[in-house]
Amino acid sequence: MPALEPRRSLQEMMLALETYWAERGCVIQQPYPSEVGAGTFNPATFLRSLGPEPWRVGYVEPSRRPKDGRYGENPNRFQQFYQYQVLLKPAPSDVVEQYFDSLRALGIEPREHDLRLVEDDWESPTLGASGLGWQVWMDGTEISQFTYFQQCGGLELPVVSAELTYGLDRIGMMLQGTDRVQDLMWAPGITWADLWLQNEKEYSRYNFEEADVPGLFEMFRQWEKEALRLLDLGLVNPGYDCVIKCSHLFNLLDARGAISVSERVGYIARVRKLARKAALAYVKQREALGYPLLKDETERAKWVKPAEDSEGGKATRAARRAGA
Amino acid sequence: MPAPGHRADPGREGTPVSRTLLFEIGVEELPSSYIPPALEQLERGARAGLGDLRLAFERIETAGTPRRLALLVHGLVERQTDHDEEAMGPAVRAAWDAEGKPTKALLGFCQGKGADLASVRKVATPKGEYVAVTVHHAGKPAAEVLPALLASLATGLSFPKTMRWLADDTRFARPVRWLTALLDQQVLPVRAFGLEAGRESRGHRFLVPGGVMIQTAQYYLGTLRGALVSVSPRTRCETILTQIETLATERGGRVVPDEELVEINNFMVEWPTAFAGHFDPQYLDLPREVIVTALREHQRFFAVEDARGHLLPAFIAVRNGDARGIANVVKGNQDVLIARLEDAKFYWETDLKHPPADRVEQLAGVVWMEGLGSLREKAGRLSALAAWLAQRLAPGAAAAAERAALLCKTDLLSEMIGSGKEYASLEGVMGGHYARRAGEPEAVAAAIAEHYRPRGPSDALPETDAGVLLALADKLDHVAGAFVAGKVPSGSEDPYGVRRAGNGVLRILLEQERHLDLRDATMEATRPFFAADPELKQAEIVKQLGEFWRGRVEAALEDRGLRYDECEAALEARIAVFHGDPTSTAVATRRPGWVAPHDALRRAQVLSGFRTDARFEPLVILFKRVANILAKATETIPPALDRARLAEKVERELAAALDQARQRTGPLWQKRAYDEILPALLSMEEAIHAFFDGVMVNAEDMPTRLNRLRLLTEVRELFVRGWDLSKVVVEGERGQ
Repeated sequence: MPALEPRRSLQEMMLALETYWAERGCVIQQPYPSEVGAGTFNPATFLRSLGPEPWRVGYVEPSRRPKDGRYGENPNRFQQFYQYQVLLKPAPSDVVEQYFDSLRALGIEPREHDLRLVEDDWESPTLGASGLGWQVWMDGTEISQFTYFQQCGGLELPVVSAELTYGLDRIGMMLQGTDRVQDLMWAPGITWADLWLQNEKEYSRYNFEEADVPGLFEMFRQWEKEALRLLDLGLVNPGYDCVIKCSHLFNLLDARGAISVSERVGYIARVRKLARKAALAYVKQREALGYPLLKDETERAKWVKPAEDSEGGKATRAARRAGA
Repeated sequence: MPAPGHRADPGREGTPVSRTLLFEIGVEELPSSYIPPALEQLERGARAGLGDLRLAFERIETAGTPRRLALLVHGLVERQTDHDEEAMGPAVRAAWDAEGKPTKALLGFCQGKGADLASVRKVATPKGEYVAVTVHHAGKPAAEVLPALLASLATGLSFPKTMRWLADDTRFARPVRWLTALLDQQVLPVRAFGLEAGRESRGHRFLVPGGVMIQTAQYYLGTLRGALVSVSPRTRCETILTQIETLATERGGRVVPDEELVEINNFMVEWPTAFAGHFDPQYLDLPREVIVTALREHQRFFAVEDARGHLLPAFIAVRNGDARGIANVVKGNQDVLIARLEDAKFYWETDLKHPPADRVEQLAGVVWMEGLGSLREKAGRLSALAAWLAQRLAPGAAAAAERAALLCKTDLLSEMIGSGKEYASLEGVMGGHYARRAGEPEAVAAAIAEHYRPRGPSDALPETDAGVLLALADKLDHVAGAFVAGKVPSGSEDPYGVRRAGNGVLRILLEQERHLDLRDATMEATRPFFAADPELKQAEIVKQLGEFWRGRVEAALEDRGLRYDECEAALEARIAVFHGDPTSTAVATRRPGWVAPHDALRRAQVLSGFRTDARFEPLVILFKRVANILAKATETIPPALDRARLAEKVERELAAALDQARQRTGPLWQKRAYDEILPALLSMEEAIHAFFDGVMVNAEDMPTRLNRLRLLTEVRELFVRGWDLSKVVVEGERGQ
C-alpha cells in the first residue's frame, strides 16, 4: 500500500495538496481560528493579496455557509465544507498548468476526464473583492474556483494574485466514487458521517431554528463598532477579525430569515465598508513597515521610496494604486 | 476584398509574390461569448490596417477556440505598393525672399519632406499660390511593417470585461500566454503583452501538451488539427451537429433545436466529442421547461425529444477531447444532472403545496422597485389596469386577466424561482404551471405563463387575450413606475429595462394590430402612483412619459423599415379620437399621432406606398406652402368659413374639392382605411394648385384674407388628421 493514496481518504488528498504546493514554494498555513464563509476571508488571502509584497500560501479552510445546512440529510449540501485555498502572488505565467498538475498529484489524469475552464467572474460583495477567472469543471461538476484577483477591499490591486480554491468534499467524493458526502472516507476507516453528521444536525438546527436573532443583531452592532474603533487605532489584525465576525453574523441572520430582501443590501454594504477600512489600514501599515516580504532588491526599489521623497510627496505608487 | 488601387503592380518586379500571414494570439480559456465578436474585430482591423499599409491581399480568414484567436491572410503581397505623396508647403510669397533666395520656411519644408529644392513646384489654390513637392515613398517589405500592425490589432481588441495580469496596465479578457506570427516560413517579431511572437503554437491542453511548431503559415490549420485542435469554428460546428444528431437518432429521437446552445458549445471546446447520457424517466413528470432548463442553463446539455415532440429521458453533451475516458465523462455528467433534477423535483413538489392564491398576501413582503412599494401593491395595480385595458381591447377576457394579475407574481416566492438561480428565467412560466395545478381556469394559467412576453425583439408574443392584457398591464406599469421613481433610461443606460418594457408593449400593439391610446393608458397606469403620493410632480412625469413613448413608437416604426420623415409625418399628425358611439362623427378629440402606435404604423406605411405617385411630390410642396402661410399668419383666423365670400372661381373650386374630399373620406377615417383616404386627399392637388396660382392669399381686403386663411386651415386640418405632410422631405424641394 502506498504511503499516501489521495483516492483513499480526504485527509490523504489534503496531504497530497499540501505537499504539492509546499514543493512549489508555498507557505503551508493552517485554518483561521474564526468562522469564515470561504478561504478568501482568511487574512492570509484577504490581507496578503493587498499591496506589492509577493506571497505564496496554501491552507485548508473549513468554511461555513449556514444557509446550506440540510440537517445532514442531503448528500450534497451541508453547512460546513472544506476548501483548499492557494494564493500565488504574483500569478505565475504557468499557473493554469500548475493547477492541472496539482490534480495529477491527486491521481486525476486529465486525459481520462473532461476538464474545462468555464468563465466565471467571481465577486464577494461583502469583501469588496472581485476577479476574473473560471470555475473548473471535471466531467460536468465544478471542482474548483480559479480567480485572478483584480480588487480586494474595494482597492484595485497593484499585483495580481491567482486564487485557487479546491472544493475538497466534492473532489473527494469524485475520487472515491461516492454519491453521498456521508460516505466520504475522511481517514482510513473513518467517514465524514462519523466525524460531522452530528455537527451538521446541531448546526442546522442552530442556524435555522435556535440562533438568537436579537442577540445576533446586537453582536453585529458590537463587532461593527469594535472593528471601526480598532482600525482607527491602527490595530489591523484585531480589527479585521471583527470584520470576519460581522460577516459570519450576517450569514447567520440571513439563514435565520431575519434579514429582508431590502435590508440585505444594506447589511452587505456595512460589512464591505468595514472590509475596505481594514484593507486601507493594512496597506498603510505595510508601507510604513517598508514591505518586509519584498525581499528582491530591484522589486523593492520600485515600491519603497527613499525617505526624503515619501516625506514630501506621499504620492507613492502604492498609495496611488490603492486609490488613495 | 483588396481595396482598389492597392493591388501590387505585377509588371513592376516581375511575378508578384503571394504570401500567407498567420497571427495567433494564445490565451487562457476565453468566455465562449467573447470569441465570435473578437474574431470579427480581428478581421475588420486587419482589413483596415492592411489597406492603410498599402498591402494588397486576396482573402482574410479568422479562426478561434477558447485558447486562441487566429488571423490568416491569404495572397498577401510581399511589399507595400509605392506611393506618391503630394505635399503642400508654404505660400509662394513666404517661400522666397525679396532677393529670390529660399526662406527658412521653404528650406525647412524641403528638409522635412526629404525633397530637393529643385523639385519644388508652384501650385495655384483658391487661397493663392503655394509651393508643393511630390514625395515618393518606396514600398517597404511586408515583413517589416506587419509586426507593428499585428501588435496593435491584438492590443486593440475589446471585450465586455477585461483584466490585468502583468505588472503594467495591459488588459485583455484573460491572460495572453503566447503569440505566433509567420509570413510564410518567416517569423514576425510581434511584441505585445510582454511576449515576442515565435513559430511555436500549442496543441490541445491535455491531448497534445506542449509546443507545436508551425513550419509555414499555410499549414497552420492542418498542423493544429494534428495537435488535436480544430481551430475553424465552422468545421467544429459541423462536427458537433453531425455527432449530436447521430447520437439522438441512435436513441430514437432528435435534438431539441437550439442554435444558441450549439454556438455556446462550439466555443467551449477545441476538439469536440459528443456523448449521450440518460436520466431516470421519473423526472419526466417535471414540466418540460424545467427539464430543458436544468439541461441547458448550467450544464449546456441538449435535450432529446421523440417524433411527437415528447422529451426522452436522455441528453447529449459535448466534451473537449477525444473518446478516451468517455465512460468517466458520461458518469460524471449524469451524476451532476441527477443532482440538479433532484433539486428541481424538490422545488417543484414543495411549491405545489402552496397554491398561488395562498401566496398573494405574502407578496407584501417583497419589494418591487426601490421606493415603489411591494409586489402586493403591484398585483393590485395590475388587476385594475388589466380591467381597464380589457374594456378597450378584449372585454371578454376581463375576469381572467384580473384574476391572473393578482396571482402572476406569486411564483417569485416559489422555491423554483426564488432559490434556484438557474430557473429564474422560468418566472411566469412556472406561475402558469402552479396556477393550473391549483385548479385555476386555463385562461388564468395561460395568462400568467405569458405575461412576461415578449422579453426581447425575437421572443414570442402572448397569445391569449387575457395574456395580452396582463402583458400590456405589466409593462405599462413598469414603465410608469420607473418614471415615477426617477429610474429613467438615459443614453445607452437602461438598468431597469424600461425601454425593453416599452418595446414589448409596442411589439404587441403593432404585430397584433391592437388599437390602444398610449396617452390614456399612461394616465391610467400613473393614476395609482399619483394617488399614493400627492407630492409627485405629475405634470413633469407625464410629460417625460409622453416623450419616452413617442421615442419608442418612432424607433419601432423605423425598425420596420419606414423612413424618418414618414414616421414624423405619421407621428406629428393630429388624429381624431372618437368617443362613445363609433358611428357618430360628432364627438372627436384631436390627439398627437403617436398615441395610437398601430394607427401610426398604418398611416406611415400608406404614406410610404404613395411616395411614387405622381401627385405626391407636388402635393407635399403645396402642403408646405399652406403650412408656411398659416404659420406666418398673425391674424386671428375665424372659426368658420364664409362661403358667400368665396368670390373667385378657384376659391369655390377648392372649397368644393375640400367638401368632396371630406365627404369621400368621412366614413373612411373611423375604418382607418388610410390607403383609400390618401388618394382622396391627393385628388385635391389640382384645386390647391389652381388656388395658389389664381389668388393672393394675403389679400388687401381683410375679410377676404381671413376667409382664405380659413379655407387653407380647413384643407390643412383635413390632411393632418392622418399626416403632417410638412415633415416629408421630397426631391423637388430643393428648388423652393
